[in-house]
Formats: sequence, structure tokens, C-alpha cells
Amino acid sequence: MRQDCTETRELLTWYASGGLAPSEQGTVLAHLGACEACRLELAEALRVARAVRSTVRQIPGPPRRALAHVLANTEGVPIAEIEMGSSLAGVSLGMSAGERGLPIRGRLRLLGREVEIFRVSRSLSAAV
Amino acid sequence: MVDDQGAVADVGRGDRRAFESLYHRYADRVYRFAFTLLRNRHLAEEVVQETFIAVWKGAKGFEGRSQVSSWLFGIARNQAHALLRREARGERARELPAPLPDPEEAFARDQLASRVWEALGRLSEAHREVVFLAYYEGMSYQDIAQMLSLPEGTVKSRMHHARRALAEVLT
Ligand SMILES: [Zn+2]
Repeated sequence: MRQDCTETRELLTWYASGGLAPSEQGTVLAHLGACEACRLELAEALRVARAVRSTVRQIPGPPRRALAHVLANTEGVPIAEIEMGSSLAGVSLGMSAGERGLPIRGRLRLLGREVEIFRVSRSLSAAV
Repeated sequence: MVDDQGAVADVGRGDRRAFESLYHRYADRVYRFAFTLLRNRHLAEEVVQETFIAVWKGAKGFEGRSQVSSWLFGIARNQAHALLRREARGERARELPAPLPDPEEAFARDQLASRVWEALGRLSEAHREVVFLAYYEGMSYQDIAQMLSLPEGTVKSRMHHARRALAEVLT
């Protein structure tokens, strides 16, 4: 195999996947015009690229609940990241923020167990 | 419509609408990436969730030096690896509710796709991520190398190996 065939074949994969810079595309195209063997190689590279794309496209997106989870875990301002041994503190934290009517989020470490505290807005509760 | 960079800047300022719009633009792609890597729908779902939670927290720090998509896939990749480490230690963050139809069922009706999917399964995770980023996202080897902090030669050789393996099941 000629030296420029070796170089071309390395780039062909990327030419077929659509990730080759325009300058490199020129090199590939110039070579392909003069080399039958590399044209066959390109046909194979294109078949692989098409097959992978069409396979991946058949993977569905995430279920709707994923967005609800993301929104519930990002809503509001994180107001506390505290560590303590009493659950009473968690209760008072939740209440005080609730009275202000703000969507809040806190993270408590209670007796070594992490507990998320957040209040979800009405629109989100309806969406879940 | 705001471009990706603008959307991330808005998210950094706490814009919920921009955040949801970014989610809708990228959630499917991130899920497909995670599912291709991990081949497990529960884990893929968790990767999507953790990725966007991280995006919400980290949007302020996005400096726009890379494309938004590379930034996002980079986060997703870190989340996927973190999940795998937790799995390996036997710690699961939380159990997800009711199982959903397996995405792999979708391939059952498409012989070519199931052969490709099987072939992908025989590749390493490191090869699968390059395959996804190159073929599905159309990224250049330069960008993939930068995103994965790998030499360009490594990215090229992984792709070369993967293409050979995939070509075999197509003949
Ligand atoms: Zn040639």
C-alpha cells in the first residue's frame, strides 16, 4: 500500500463520520480521485457510519420523570449544608423557609444519613 | 432562539426557562451517550439527572472556551464514571421507580441495529465513547482528544479499531 493510502485511510473514518476539517477533506478527496482501493474503503467507512447513527437514533430519550427530578433538585437557592445529630433542626429549617414562601433546598446530614430538604412548586407537583 | 452559549449564560444567572430549554435540547443526546456507554437504562437515566443538576450548579463557571456540547458530554462522562464507581462499591444513590420498556427492545425489530448494538457491546467503554462522539455527534478527532484529555493518536487508533470491528458485522 502506498504511503498516501495509509494516511488517507486513517482520515477516511473521520471523513465518513463528518468530523474532518475542511483542509483535511481536500487531502482525502484529492487522493480518492486517483485511488480505486481507497474509494472502496470509503464505501465501507460510510456504511459503518450510517449503521451506527441509525442504531443510536433508535435509543429513546430519558423518561419524562427525569426532568421532574432535575427540576426538583435544582429549584431554589441552596440555603444550608449542615451536619448535626438532631432532626429538630431540619424541621425548623424547613418551616422557616416555607413561611417566606420561597422554594428552598437544603441538605442535612442527620446521624450520618444525608437528607434532602426541598419544597417543590405547585406547577412541578402537577407535572410529576 | 438563544444559541447554546447564550442559554448556558442565562442558566448561570438562574434562568429556569433557559435551563429547561437547555434540557430539552440536550437530554436525548446525553441519554443516548450514557446508554451507549453504560448499556443500562437506569444508570443512563441517573446520568442525565446528575448531569443537568451539575449543569445548573456549574453554568456560572462555564467560560465558553469549548463548545457547550463538549462541556455537557464531559460532565455526563464524569457522572457516568462516578456512578460506576458507586455501583462497584455497592452503593446506589437511590432506587428508581417502575421499570420502563428497555431501549434494547427497540433494536429487536431491526436486525442491523441489533448486530451493531451487540458489536458495540463487545468493544470497551473507552472505544464506545469515541464511537458515539465521532459517529453520532460528528466531533473531530481533535475535539474528542481535547475533551477526553487523550493524545490524538489514541483517539484515532480507538476509532480505527472500532470501525474494523463494526464493519465485520455489516458484511
Ligand atoms: Zn489509496
